[in-house]
Amino acid sequence: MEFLHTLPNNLIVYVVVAHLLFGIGLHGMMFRRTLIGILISLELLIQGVGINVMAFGTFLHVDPLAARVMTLFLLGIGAAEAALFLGIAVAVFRNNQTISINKLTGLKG
Amino acid sequence: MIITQISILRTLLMILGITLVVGINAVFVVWLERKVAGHMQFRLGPTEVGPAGLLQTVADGLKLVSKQIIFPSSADTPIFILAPIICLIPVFVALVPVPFSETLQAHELDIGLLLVIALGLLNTLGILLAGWGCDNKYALLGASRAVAQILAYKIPLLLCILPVILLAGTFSLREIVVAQQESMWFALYQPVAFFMYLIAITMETNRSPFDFAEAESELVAGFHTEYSGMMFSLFFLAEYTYMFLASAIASILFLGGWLGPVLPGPVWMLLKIYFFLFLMMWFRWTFPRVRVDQMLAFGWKILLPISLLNFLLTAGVMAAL
Amino acid sequence: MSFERFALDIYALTFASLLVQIVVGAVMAVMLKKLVHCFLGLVITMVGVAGLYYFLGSPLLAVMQIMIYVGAVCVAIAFGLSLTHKAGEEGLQAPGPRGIVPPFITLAMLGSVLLGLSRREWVGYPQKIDESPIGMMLLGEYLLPFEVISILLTVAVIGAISVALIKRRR
Repeated sequence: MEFLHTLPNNLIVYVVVAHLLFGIGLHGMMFRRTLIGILISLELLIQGVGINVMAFGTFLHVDPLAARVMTLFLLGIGAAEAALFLGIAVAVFRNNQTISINKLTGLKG
Repeated sequence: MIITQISILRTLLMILGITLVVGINAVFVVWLERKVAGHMQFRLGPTEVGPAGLLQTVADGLKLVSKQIIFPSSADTPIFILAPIICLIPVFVALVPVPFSETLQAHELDIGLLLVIALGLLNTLGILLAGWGCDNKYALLGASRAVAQILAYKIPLLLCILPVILLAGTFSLREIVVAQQESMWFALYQPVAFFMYLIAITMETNRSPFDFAEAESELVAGFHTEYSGMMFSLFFLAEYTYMFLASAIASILFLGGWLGPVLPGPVWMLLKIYFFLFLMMWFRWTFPRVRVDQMLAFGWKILLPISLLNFLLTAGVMAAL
Repeated sequence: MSFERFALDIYALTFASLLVQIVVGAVMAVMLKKLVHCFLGLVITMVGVAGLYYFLGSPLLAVMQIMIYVGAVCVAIAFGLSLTHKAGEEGLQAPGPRGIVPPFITLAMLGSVLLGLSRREWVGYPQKIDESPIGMMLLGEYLLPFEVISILLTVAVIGAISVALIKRRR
């Protein structure tokens, strides 16, 4: 219980969680076979990066406001990228009737 | 540490208070709706159960609880069960920063208004999941229409709130009312924003003349077609609580919250909130339903430019002064 | 047991449950078969990350995370899901021998980061600071990134709309 009390002030916890999210997102990106599945894993990657940036800025930097600004920009960029990805996925589905990347092999070979 | 001391008793009281507010509001508003509907249609409405029919909602609630909850066999059960919960919980939490008088507030937040806006956005997620989980074309269609409608009016809603934030200089709901104590109520400074805010919240809460989500004569029952019994009532609880929240924000932002001459603060606040609720019910039983594309065109082509212009004008005037 | 002690316990337990929520949501998001369940896992993770931002001393970022990610990006993904839904498409591939790559990369990154961190002192700790200078910073010191991201968002929205309107050339 005492150990749990020290957790929110411990940088290592945030770093480990961020890397865990990054690893799980990476696993998802490698092994999911639909475009939307890949998008979901990509968003997980970005969440991990956000936690990392915020944690470093809070613990290691004298000016924590800069970390908040950077994380806000990260949020905005993640949203823009998700919107573009979805536009592409919808267009691909409309033209090929599938979003499974096993079947979208027009550029292969 | 972020917090140095939490008063456990205060937190418990806060949870109890919000639950009571939501529950009593639901009971009262359902009765009020049926009475208003009745009198506008030149009939009486509920009169049997309790004095003047006040306990009608309790009777309805008991009836709904005793109904069997039917799960469609091809429905996605986790999503089916989660959707009403996702519709309901954010509205509960959004009632936390709302002040009912100078001291009657669950918890003071510097970014109270921002939290209310953020949690209001989660309503769309609940509706989409509800439409998806039913495995029913009508439900999905109703849900997509409802979400398109809500998203189309979200931006004018935010652009109507922004001039008030400029005038008050803060996101904290309590400070906004305090700012109106010195100067006049913001409705007099921002009549256009007030009017557009009323239109936007009628849209946001899926009320007539914009109730495409329910659309009783068009889509069976929209996104809650397959829900029966208590889960159906959860959606309605969420909707009425969201109406209460939107009216509370309207009275705080534009009509000065708990400010008023003779009566105590909370009484004024409740009067203003129920004035807005009565207004929404008045709209429902007076106007026919608008067509979907007309409504979307109105939102994107008329409401959005006007609210943007209003915001720019306010910012310009405030910078000049 | 005093009230303050109980409050600290609740605080610590909330933090621990947030960590559990994040990990459970992430595992749901990559391991489940049906895409809607993965989407739910993503929502759970994002709400957990919002809580983590609150514990790092930034209620503003927590609310922004809920507003931008859960309120907008997740709704957009849900719309995309319903528009590209095809019954019976297998969404998951068994990892196989290549499954060792993500844990390996993650552990390598984590090891190097922890090694680098062991040489630095922790200057600060999570505390709630006044975040109103962020607005002035966005329009003063960070004006260029601010304008660039607004252009980026405009281009992304216009690009998404124009891409979604592409029809197959016959």
